[in-house]
Amino acid sequence: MPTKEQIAARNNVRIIGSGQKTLMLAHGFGCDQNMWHYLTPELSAHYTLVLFDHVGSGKSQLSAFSPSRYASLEGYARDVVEICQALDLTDVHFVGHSVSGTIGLLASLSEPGRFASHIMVCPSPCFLNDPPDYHGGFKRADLEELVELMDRNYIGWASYLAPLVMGTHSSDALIGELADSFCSTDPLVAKTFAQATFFADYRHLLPAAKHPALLLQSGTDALADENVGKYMHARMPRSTLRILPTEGHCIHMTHPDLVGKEIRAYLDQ
Amino acid sequence: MSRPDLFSLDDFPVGCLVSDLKRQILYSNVFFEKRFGHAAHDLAGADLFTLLTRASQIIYDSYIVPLLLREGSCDEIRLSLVSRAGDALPVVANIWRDDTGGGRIYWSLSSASRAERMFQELAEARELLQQKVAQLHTLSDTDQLTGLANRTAMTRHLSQQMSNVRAGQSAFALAFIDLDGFKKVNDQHGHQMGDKLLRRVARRMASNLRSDDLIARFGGDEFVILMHGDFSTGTAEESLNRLVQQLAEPFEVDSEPLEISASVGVTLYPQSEEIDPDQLIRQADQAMYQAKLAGRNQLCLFNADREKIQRDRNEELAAIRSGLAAGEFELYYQPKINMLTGQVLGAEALLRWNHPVLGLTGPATFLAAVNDTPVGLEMGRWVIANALAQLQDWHRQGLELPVSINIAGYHLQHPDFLADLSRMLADVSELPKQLLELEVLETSTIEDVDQISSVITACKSLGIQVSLDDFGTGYSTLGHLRDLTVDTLKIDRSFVKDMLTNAGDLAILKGVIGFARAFECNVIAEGVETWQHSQRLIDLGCEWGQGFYIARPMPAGALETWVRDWREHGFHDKFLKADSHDRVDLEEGS
Repeated sequence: MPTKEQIAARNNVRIIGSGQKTLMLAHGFGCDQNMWHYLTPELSAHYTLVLFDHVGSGKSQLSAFSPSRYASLEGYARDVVEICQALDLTDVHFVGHSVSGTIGLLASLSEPGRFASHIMVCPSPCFLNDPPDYHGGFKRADLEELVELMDRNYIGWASYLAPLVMGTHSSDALIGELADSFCSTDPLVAKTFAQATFFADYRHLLPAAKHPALLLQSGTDALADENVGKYMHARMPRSTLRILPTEGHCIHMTHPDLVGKEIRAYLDQ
Repeated sequence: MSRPDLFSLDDFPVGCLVSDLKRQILYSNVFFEKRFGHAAHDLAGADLFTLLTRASQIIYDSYIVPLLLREGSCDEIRLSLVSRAGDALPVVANIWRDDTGGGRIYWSLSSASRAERMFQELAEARELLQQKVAQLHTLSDTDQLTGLANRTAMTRHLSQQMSNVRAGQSAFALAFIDLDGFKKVNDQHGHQMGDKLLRRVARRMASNLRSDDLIARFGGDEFVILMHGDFSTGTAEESLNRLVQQLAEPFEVDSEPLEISASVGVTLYPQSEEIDPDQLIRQADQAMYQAKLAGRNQLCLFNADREKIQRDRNEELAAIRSGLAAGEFELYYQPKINMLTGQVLGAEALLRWNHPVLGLTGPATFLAAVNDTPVGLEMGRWVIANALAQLQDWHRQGLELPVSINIAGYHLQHPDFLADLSRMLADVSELPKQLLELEVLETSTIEDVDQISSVITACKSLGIQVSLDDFGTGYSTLGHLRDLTVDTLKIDRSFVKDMLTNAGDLAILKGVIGFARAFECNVIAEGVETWQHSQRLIDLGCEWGQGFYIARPMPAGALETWVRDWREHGFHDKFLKADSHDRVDLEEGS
């Protein structure tokens, strides 16, 4: 087990705000903890916020990336648990956007004692359609196209051919310096995260949830629509579903006031 | 300069589009109609997602929106745009957000068909490269003749497996196979036929082993097999024995029946001591060699204990050899006397090792190790040469003292023994040869009595005395006595030791003395440790003796003084004084 400092550096952990309750904010696929930027002024006034980047995103340590560990969401969940252990956090209210809702669920199942509740923003336990009963939103071919499209957005000639020419398969060789920009991610890492996110199916874990959960679903969301929220709510014990009059998948960025109000109302009830 | 009204957005060869944060399309230029078939009036008010494939929609939600909200723009995003005809077309988008006017989003979209073609070519090139690299790997790892793995591949695989085992994965067996009679096939039928046979052998081996066993041709007619699994010695033996049987079945090459067989050595990993991959292969190779020695067409298991014994012995031999070179060995001399008259008959040269760590040690600590080895022969020659040099020394000083040396059977039977001895004797030409006596160990393995007999006869013709040592302890003693004409019989100390209490030993002793008389040779008793021993031996007719009661072995320098003292008072004190019989000396060591 890495040391507290190593974990903090690995996941670029930041603690802001003050308050009795601890909220851990986990970004979703594609971005980093800066996603929470619009929400943190409101939340940090009332709560202690633990912000972090998933390995491979933002200012996390790319050297900590391992294709095998992060090939499934369990790898990201292990990081969450390790952060909780390193900071000795208990009664954590885990606020996860999109796929991080599932990551939080996995973390709370492996170490229930550290968590108090879940707040899932636009969550989906499975993005794939599973007809006739489940409509995740995407056919397998759509998601395969996504992976291909990601490839095309990361045409790094060197990183594309170097491993072959150099005959190495080490992740170090594939991972270059990350540009400092928001949302820029190494191609291999982004692809690994995309595959872990979009090809996963954790629906079977929903009934096992041990903590109360608030599901904030966006009224119009191509990635996780209303029905996905209803499906989850029906299966998760002690869950509350709120369908918000919003468009899009990043409602914590586009509608921070609304989302902030929902979170506060839920936590303070 | 003011903007000329002559130009409009429709004149630009790029798709221009405006949308809002709710994904509603507010404007599109004519390029969308020309290139993608979407008329402006169709798009106005429509959902932006009608233009994007499902995958592109995810990119929009996951990347574009957060980027626009956070940084205001994003450049060169590769998307797939759905044409009116329903085709997905590659486009590149540059996007920025104007947050002053209600959050309008401005898009410029251009075709990325050429970039897409380049990407596809890159992907193809990559695949090709991947294939070539894989081919190169295969080529460098494959034995061209049989298609099996080659030595390089096996060595690498072996190292990998050994580290897997150390990491807790399952064990394996390593077999070394050498074909018996393959050279004959090559000689009789030519190399082409030999090569064909090797291919058949490879195929037969592969079909008789499990698919995860790695078979490699090591070169010539040698193969190495790595069999995965936690074998007990028995199971590895069983499956390889089957392979031995199968390889002994006749092969047919070009309608010619060919018969060969295989000698197989096998070793298991892990072992109690850590070893490297080369050593492991050597172990299997050694075991294979044992299989050859044992008659071929069979399996031999490597025995780690046997190897350890051999290794220890080699180390011991090396230490002895360097001890010899460093002058750590020395001859001690033990007098032989006539117990009745006190006459000093001579001395037996006994080898001692002034070991740098253990101190002074006797032959018990090193003779067994050198038995029948080149080091043993070297040691034997050293003893002869040193004894002769000492004899010559004493002779020059006027001390005529015969010296006997012990000769091992294997040394005596060595083809060069007589030539070596003659040469050494020639170096001391003025020395009367009868001063040297060879003590032939009766218990030593005498394989060829005729040969020994002729060597002894030759020695005697050189003037050298010969005695039969440890007489009575070996087998076929009587036969030896008949066939080997020796001057003296030495009665082994074991009979002397117990003769006073053990009737059987006494009977043998009497018999030996009788034989000596019958064969007309002298007799001397070893192990005279007490006055009582000496008196009993004299009574039985054996007057010559040697033992701790008379004197312990001593360095050459001390012997001259001892002889003088013996003659002056030693004999008198031990044998003639009334109270001498009370003395009991310590047990004799060697």
